[in-house]
This record gives sequence, structure tokens and C-alpha cells, in this order.
Amino acid sequence: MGGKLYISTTIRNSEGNKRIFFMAFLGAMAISFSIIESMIPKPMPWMRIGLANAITLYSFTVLKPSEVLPVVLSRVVATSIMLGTLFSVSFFLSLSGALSSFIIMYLLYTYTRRVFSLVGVSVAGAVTSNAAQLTMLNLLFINNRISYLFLPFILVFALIGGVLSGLFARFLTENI
Amino acid sequence: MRKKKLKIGDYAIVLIVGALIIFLFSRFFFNKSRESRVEVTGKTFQKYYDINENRVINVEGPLGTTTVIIEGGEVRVEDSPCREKICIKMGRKKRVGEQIICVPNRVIVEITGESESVDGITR
Repeated sequence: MGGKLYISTTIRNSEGNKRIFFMAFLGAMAISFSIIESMIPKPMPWMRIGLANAITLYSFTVLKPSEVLPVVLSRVVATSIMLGTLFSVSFFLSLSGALSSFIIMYLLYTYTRRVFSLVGVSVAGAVTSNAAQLTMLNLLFINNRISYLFLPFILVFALIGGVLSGLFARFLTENI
Repeated sequence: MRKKKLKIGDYAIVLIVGALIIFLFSRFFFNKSRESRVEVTGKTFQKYYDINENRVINVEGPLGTTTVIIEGGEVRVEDSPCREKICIKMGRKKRVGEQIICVPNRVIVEITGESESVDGITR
């Protein structure tokens, strides 16, 4: 089989194999959570819980940071392909949000684990993600001062969603 | 397990974000610009007034005299000779960009000035 040949030539040991499969599993989980979440009707587009963010967070606890980045990127790209928003505005918004929250969560999780548990890292990631999306929106559009009016409202939901997804990530670490 | 409990940083970050939210909301709601002026325009009359200075302005129009009152950082139309009295029912205005317009008597009252976050579209 072609796929098996590819994996066996690139990854020598079965431990690496397992890690690749686990990354793919986490990516698929994040994709399905993203799509389920996009199906839930909500009055405003930013009122999300961020379950995909919880998967990213959980990935940090089991994978190396260099292995979390492909999970995040594949989640963003595959979700936008499935929702039909590839290379549209919402794709760039979610890409910027996912990448910036990845960087912040990576720094917080790696260097300040003593101070923050998963919930705190999740809240920081959610806030960063939303702020980055607003900044991206300002870069993409000319009329840019309006969107900062949304910032307090968005932050409220980022806080709630961050706590929820952090608790969900903790639930995952305890039960998988 | 070590991940069971919330740590002190969690409460700290929630508090920080909460404080940020409250700060932004307060800036959003108490956005009374200090340098805002009241522009009163009639048919043959246009003048600017300081919004923090209490005064009574009588504007002559085709129907008669419209009385505009600036009081306590707010502006309102006290009396108007027009039929519908819509300008009186507009109430008190204090934020930049808000307007009171009396069409029959040709009077426009608008608050102008540098706004911190509210612009001409989202007034």
C-alpha cells in the first residue's frame, strides 16, 4: 500500500507512527468539533465556545509543540474546505486567530505551567484569538475603527468560552 | 493529578480580562467628549456653542421661534412652533454625532467634535 510505504520510509520506528496517527486523530477531532460548532445557531458569529481550541490545548499536553502546529493548521484549512470558506475573509480570520492563540498558548503552557492551569491558558488563548481576528478584520477592511467597538462584547464571550473550553480540555486530559 | 485544581494564575487572568472588559465598557458608555460643541443651524443662522456651558438659544425659523437649551452637558429643544413637536420628543442628546432636527421650522441641532470611539456611522 502506498500510504504504508510512505510512512515506513519517513518514520522509522512504530513510536513515530503512533504519534503521526495520534496527531491525525486529534486533527480530525478538532475538525469535527469546529464543524459541529459552526452548525449551532447563534445570534452573533463570535459567540463560540471554542471546542477546537480545547483540542489544541489538549494536544499540548500529549504532543510536542512542533507537532501541535500541524494539528492546528490542518484543522483550520480542512474546516474551511468543508464549510466552503477557503481563502475567504472568514478563513483568514480563523487562520490568524488560530495561529496567534497557538503562539500564546505555547508560550504560556511551556514556560508558566506553574502559574497557569489549562483553564488560564485557554482563556488567554481565546482572548488572543478574538483580538487577532479583530486586528485582521481591520487590516482587511478600510473602515477600521468600528470593529473595535465590538471588543468588550467579544471579550465577554471570549472569557466565558475560554473557561468552558479550558474545562473541556481538562476533562479530556483526565479521561482519555 | 496535578491538573485537578485551578491555579492562582487562572483567577488572575480571569480577573485581568474582567477588568479589561469593564474598562472598555466604561469607555464605551461614558464617552462624553470634552471638546464637543453644539452646532445650531436655522434658516439664516448658524452658530457653535460649548456643550458644557448652560445657555438658552432662540432660533428664528419660518414658523416662529424654536428654543434650544444646553444644560449640564446635554442639549434639548424646549419649545417649538411646529405641529408634530418631534424635535421636542427627541429628548436630550449628549453624545457626538447625535442630532435633533425640526423640519417645519428648519432647525438642525447637532453635536460635533472629536469622538474617541464612536464615529459617524455608529453613533
